[in-house]
Amino acid sequence: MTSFGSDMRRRDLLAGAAALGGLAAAGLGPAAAQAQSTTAMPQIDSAEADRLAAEFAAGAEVLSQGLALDLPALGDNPAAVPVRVHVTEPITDASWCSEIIVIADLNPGPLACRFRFTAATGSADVTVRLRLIRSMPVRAYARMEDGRVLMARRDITVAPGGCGL
Amino acid sequence: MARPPRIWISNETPAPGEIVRVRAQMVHVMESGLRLDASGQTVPQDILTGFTASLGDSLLLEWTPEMAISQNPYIEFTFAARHSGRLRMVWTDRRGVVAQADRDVTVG
Amino acid sequence: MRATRRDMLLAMGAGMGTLALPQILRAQAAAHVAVVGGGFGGATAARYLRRLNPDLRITLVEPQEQFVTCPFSNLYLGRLRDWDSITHGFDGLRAAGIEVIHARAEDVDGSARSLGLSNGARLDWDRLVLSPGIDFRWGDLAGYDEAAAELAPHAWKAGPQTQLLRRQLEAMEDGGTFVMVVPQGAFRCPPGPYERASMVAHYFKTHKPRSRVLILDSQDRFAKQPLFRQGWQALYGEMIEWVGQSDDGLVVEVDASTRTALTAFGTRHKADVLNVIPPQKAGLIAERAGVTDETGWVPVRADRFESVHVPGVYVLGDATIAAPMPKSGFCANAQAKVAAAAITADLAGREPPPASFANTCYSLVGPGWGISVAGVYRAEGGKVVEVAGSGGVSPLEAGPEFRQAEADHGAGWYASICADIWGTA
Repeated sequence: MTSFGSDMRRRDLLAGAAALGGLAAAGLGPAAAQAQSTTAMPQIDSAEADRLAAEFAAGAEVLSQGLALDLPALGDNPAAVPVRVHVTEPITDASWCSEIIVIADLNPGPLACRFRFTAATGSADVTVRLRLIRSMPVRAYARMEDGRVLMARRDITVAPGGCGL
Repeated sequence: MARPPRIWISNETPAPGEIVRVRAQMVHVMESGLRLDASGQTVPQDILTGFTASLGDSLLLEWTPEMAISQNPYIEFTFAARHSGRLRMVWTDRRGVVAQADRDVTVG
Repeated sequence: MRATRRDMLLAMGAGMGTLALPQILRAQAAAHVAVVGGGFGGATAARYLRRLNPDLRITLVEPQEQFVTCPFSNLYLGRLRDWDSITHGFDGLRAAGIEVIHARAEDVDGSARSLGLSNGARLDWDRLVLSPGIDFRWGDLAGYDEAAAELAPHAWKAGPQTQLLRRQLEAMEDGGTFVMVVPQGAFRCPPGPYERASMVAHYFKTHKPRSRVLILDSQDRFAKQPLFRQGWQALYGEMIEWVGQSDDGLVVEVDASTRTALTAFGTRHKADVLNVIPPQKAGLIAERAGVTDETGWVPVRADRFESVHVPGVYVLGDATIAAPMPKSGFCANAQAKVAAAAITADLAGREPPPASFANTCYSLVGPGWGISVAGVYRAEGGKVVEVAGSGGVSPLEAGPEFRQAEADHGAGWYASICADIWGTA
């Protein structure tokens, strides 16, 4: 193993970045990987996520079809994971999507965001970027005007790239 | 805010009913409210609380971000171009309206 | 130092009766370990398997007759190293009694324990080591397929691509722009693009001073960012421009024939030399061997780097999901040593010794200006974890002597590790 100078010590990278005009991550990053402190803790299970889902579905049957959820299987940059949700069946004046929610099961606040659409929208296709605290299931639910609730779910492995990030 | 939001629109002169794709990003700290500062105090939450997109008088999309949304929030969405009008996008946080961007859409 | 048979048996546990000895020795003399990949992971595995097992049959399969290292290939682009200095042959490994076959591994049968090669041969193995590096997700970045790489090189596998990129830089007129596209998703060597930008800037500064370097990045931060930014300012002024994702740095399409990169927000960048680092996945043989998962990378048991899916197959280096260990040559070398010890123990019916890994990523910002980040890791619950309080990164406040020392450390590391692995300086 190569030895290195005794002046080596873990640096507050973010303070350095701020000083050089870089980005300050107001992060939900895993505490061990960040130079800053955080009170962010993952959920211990999907109970809160299930509760949010049940509240959204409001008793309607949840169908695992008609909704696509695209996100990378490996989240190498957990601070900004691209997530796309779109209804795959045709959006018409008679059949359109009124609402979508995205849930990140084990995040401190599992409800990631909500979308509302109108009859004027003519589509239901949205992409956002999420910060995820650890590996977890991510789900989306969509409510159609006829009352059907569609859902999709994918697992993501969060594995930050390492090497001084 | 410091810089106006960055906007991309797939086609500002779409055919009637054509699906138009929009990308929008703004600078926002998205302070989660879980971070501790150097003295161990919680830095108060400061996140984007709302985004709307309208075409003329028609509301197309309402987006309610929570703290899971990454810093410098990015949103991409589509709509069917049914009539010409001004596509207006408005961002709000706890201070009220923090950004607005307009694009004229002309349906052929 | 070559471990004697006796040392090795003692190390594997006291209380082994002499009656057991001949059987163990026979088993090891008969066993065959095949290694795919002659780079930092595979060649180290072969080397260390030999050191631990003088009588083990070891075959190394590597398509290239000489291995060109990605580490320090950026220095070749910056004209601080010549081609020979980053090229390593396999005669040193042959001299250690390792059979080296220059062919491509084509298929792996995990249950029959056999490996098919491009020359038609099949090798039966008792244990298999795969260290295949990365392959590219052609077409994931719109417009960037294999043909495009001949016009806008990636040079993310060292070899002809690196030479192509250097020729393009040398042919570029003064005042031109070198554009580098950094992909979304995991890629080998997180600080690599920024070292490359540094080395190209050094070449420009000394030969084409009106030229510029533009980095279009898919993320908002990068490895050793404050250190790189500080060095760039000091050495190159405003020559290097870095555009992060939030500033419209994410590239969604490239046109290699016109050397144009198109961003998500519609900005077109025309380059005089375009370097596209494409999205990546584990080397192809890994998928064929059935060791990859839906991420396209290989999950492994951290205490021995054995595949989670296919027992008897060990996977090393960039192909693996080993976070928080980064994808680096240094890590592949460390993982190979752990796997070699684990295979040795396994062949003798023993549990592997405790796994410990270290990594130091050296980056050269300019001649005499080196920076680094180091980490120490161990295995816990099947996963790699960082040892708390270990490692560190170069301090921001440091004088020229410190930067020179780090540059020297990097060169020293390279010389000694290459000597250890391939037996060349």
